[in-house]
Amino acid sequence: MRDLQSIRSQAQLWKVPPETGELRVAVVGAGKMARFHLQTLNAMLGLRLVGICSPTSEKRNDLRDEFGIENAFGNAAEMFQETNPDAVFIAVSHAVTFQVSSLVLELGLPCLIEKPAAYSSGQIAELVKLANKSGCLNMVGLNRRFYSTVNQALLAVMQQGPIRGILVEAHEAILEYRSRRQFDESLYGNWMIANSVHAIDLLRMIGGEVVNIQTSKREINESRGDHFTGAIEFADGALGTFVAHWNAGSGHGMKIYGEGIVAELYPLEEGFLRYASGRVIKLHPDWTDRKFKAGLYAQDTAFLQSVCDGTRSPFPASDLKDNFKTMCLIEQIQGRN
Amino acid sequence: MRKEIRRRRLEVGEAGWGIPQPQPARLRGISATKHYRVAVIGAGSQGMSQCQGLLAVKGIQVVGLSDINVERLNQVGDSMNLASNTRFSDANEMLRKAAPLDMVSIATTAPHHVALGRLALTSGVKRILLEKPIDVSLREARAFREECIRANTLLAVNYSRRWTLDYRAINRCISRGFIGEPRSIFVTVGKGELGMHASHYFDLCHYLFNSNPAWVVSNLEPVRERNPRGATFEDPSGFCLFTFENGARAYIDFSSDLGPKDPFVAIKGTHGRITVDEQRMFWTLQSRSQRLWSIPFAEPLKSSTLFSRVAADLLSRPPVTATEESGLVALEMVIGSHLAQRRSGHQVTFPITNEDSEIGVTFP
Repeated sequence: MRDLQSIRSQAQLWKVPPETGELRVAVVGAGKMARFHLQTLNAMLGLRLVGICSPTSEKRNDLRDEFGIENAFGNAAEMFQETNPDAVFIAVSHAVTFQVSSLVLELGLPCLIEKPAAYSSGQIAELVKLANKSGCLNMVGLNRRFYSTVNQALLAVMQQGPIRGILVEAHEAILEYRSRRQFDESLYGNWMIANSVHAIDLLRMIGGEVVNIQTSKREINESRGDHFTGAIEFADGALGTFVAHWNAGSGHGMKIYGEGIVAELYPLEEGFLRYASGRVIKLHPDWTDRKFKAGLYAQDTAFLQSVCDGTRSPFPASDLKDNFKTMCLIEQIQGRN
Repeated sequence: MRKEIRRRRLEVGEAGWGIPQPQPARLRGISATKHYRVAVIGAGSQGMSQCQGLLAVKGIQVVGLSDINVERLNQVGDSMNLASNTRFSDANEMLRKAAPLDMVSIATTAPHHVALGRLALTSGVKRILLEKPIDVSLREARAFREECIRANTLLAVNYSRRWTLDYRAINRCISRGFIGEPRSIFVTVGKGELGMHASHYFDLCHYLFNSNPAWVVSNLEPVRERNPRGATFEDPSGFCLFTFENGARAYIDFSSDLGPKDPFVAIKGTHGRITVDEQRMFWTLQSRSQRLWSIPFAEPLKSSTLFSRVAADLLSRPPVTATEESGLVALEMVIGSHLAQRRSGHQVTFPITNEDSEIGVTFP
C-alpha cells in the first residue's frame, strides 16, 4: 500500500503515460541510496516495483516489505531474468558499480547508475562502448543537477544575460571520514571521484564544454592530493574556478556570475540571488526537494520519462557519454592523466 | 497569510522570490567611456519612444530629430526637452547639420525606410537602425543591405523582441536543451495586422528556431477599415502557418475575431515546453523532469525600455545582435504571406525572388 497521504496533491505526482502501460522497475542495491530512490519511486503513479537485489538478505527483505516490492533476489542476473524489468536503478556500493553496470548494459536494460559509474575515465569509456553496442538508454545519477535551487539560480542568471563565471568549492573532511572507517581504502583513495564528482560535474553543467584548464594541487595528507585549484575556460566564454581544501572543513557550494547578478549557493540546497542593484532574493527548494532527497524526484522522473518515450534525457541530465567528460575533468584536476 | 501565499507560490516553482531586478541598458566595454551622437528620423509614437529610450542611456545624446510634420516634431521635442537647434523638418538638413552622427534611427512608416537609410548612408553614418519592417520592397531592401556591407556600415532592424532579456533567456534555455529540440511555436496575438504586429512574431520564430522559413500558407482577411497610419496602407489581419528548414512549424494567429491584443506564445520542444504571457509578464518552463518554473519578466516589453537596449547594443563594440539579415527574412515572411493569400491558400516557398516579391502592397 503506497502512502500518498503526505503528498500534497496527486496532480503533482509523475504518472507513467497511459500509452506506455505499466512500467516494471527493478532496483539493484539495498543501501541508503537505494532507499532514497525507492522513496521517490513510491510516490510515482503507474510503476510496478518488480524486484530488488542485494547480497544482504536482511536489507533486501526489509526494503521489499517496506515498499511493497514484488520480489527480492540475492543475484542481479537472476532478478533480471525473473522480472524482465523495463528500467533498472543501480545503487550498489561504489566498488561494484562498474561490474553491475556492465552486466545491465550488456543486457541492454535502460538504467540509472548512481554516481560514480566507475573510478576512472577508462572504465567509463568501457561502459559507453557497452551502452553503444546494446543501444541502451542510460543516465548517471548526479542529483545536484536536478536541485531546484541550482536550476532556479541558473535560470535567474541566464535571464539577465550570458553566464560569465562559475566558482565551485568542494571541501571534504577526508581525515574525519577516514577515521570513521565506514568504507574500504579504495573509496577513500578515490574520494574526489566518489563525492566531489557532484561539484565538479556542476562546473560542466553550468559552464558547458571545457576548452582549457590549468590546475595546481598539494599533497599534505593524501597521496592523490588534498588541496586543489583549477582555472577553467568554457567554450561559451564563461570562466570557471574550482577550489577544494580538504580538512579545512567540509561542504560544497557554488557561485554563478552573470550580468549584474550573482547566484550564491552555500550549501547547494539553499541560496541567494544578489542583483547589482543591491536586491537580494532568497532561493527556496521546491516541494520535491523538501519531501525527498533533494534532486532525486526530478532526476528519477526525467529518467523514467525517457524510458517511456525511448529518447535520451535532455539537459540537465547526464548520461555515460557526458559523464566521461566530467571524469576526464576530475582526472585533470587531480593530475591523474 | 503571507507565509501561506509564499509557500504555495514556491510549490509551483519560481525563479527565486520576487521580481528580478535587471541592470538598465548601458554601453559596454570601451564604448562606456565615450559619448555618442544619435539622430532619429520620424517623430511619431515610435520616434518618441526611441528618443525616450536613447535619453535613458548614459553616454547617448540625441542631437537630431526630424519629421515633416512640424507640429508633431515640436510636441515630441518639447516633451523630450530637446533643444530647438536639434529639431529639423528636413532629414537631409539634419544629417548635414547634426553631423558627425554615430547612429541614425529611422522610425517612419515602412515605404520610406530604405530611401531614408540611403540618405544616412551617403552622409557617412556607420550605424543605421531601421524600424520594422525593413521596407515594403524586398528588392530595395536586399540592394540596401549590399550597399551597407560595401560601405562597412552596420545595418539593423528593430525587431525588439530579440533584445528583450526574457526572450534572450528563453533562447538560451532552448540552446541548452531544457526543452529538447524546439519543434512547434503557437502564437495568438489578438486582433493585429500582418506587417505591424505579426511580423514581430515571424522574426521571433526565426530567432528561436534558428532556422530559415521553408514555406508559408496564410489566410488573410479582406481589409475593411482604413489603416490608422494612412489610407494607402494595406495591412490585413488573419493567420499564417510557416514551416522552417529544420522541419519546425509556427502558427501565428492575429485574426480580427481574437479581440484586443493579448499575445501568448507557446514553444513546444521534444522534451518540454515554454509559454510566454506577454500581457501578464511571465513565462513558464516545463522540462523533462516535469518541474514547472514560472518566471516573472525581468522588465516590461515597453518600446522605450527595449529601445535603450537596442541602441546600447548597437553602439557598443562588438555589437552582439545585428539583424539586417533577419530583417530581410521577416520581410520575406510578410510578403510570402500576402503571396500565399493571393494563391488561394497554396503554399509559397522561400526564398522569394525579387520578381515574385513585387506584389504592389504598401504596409506601414
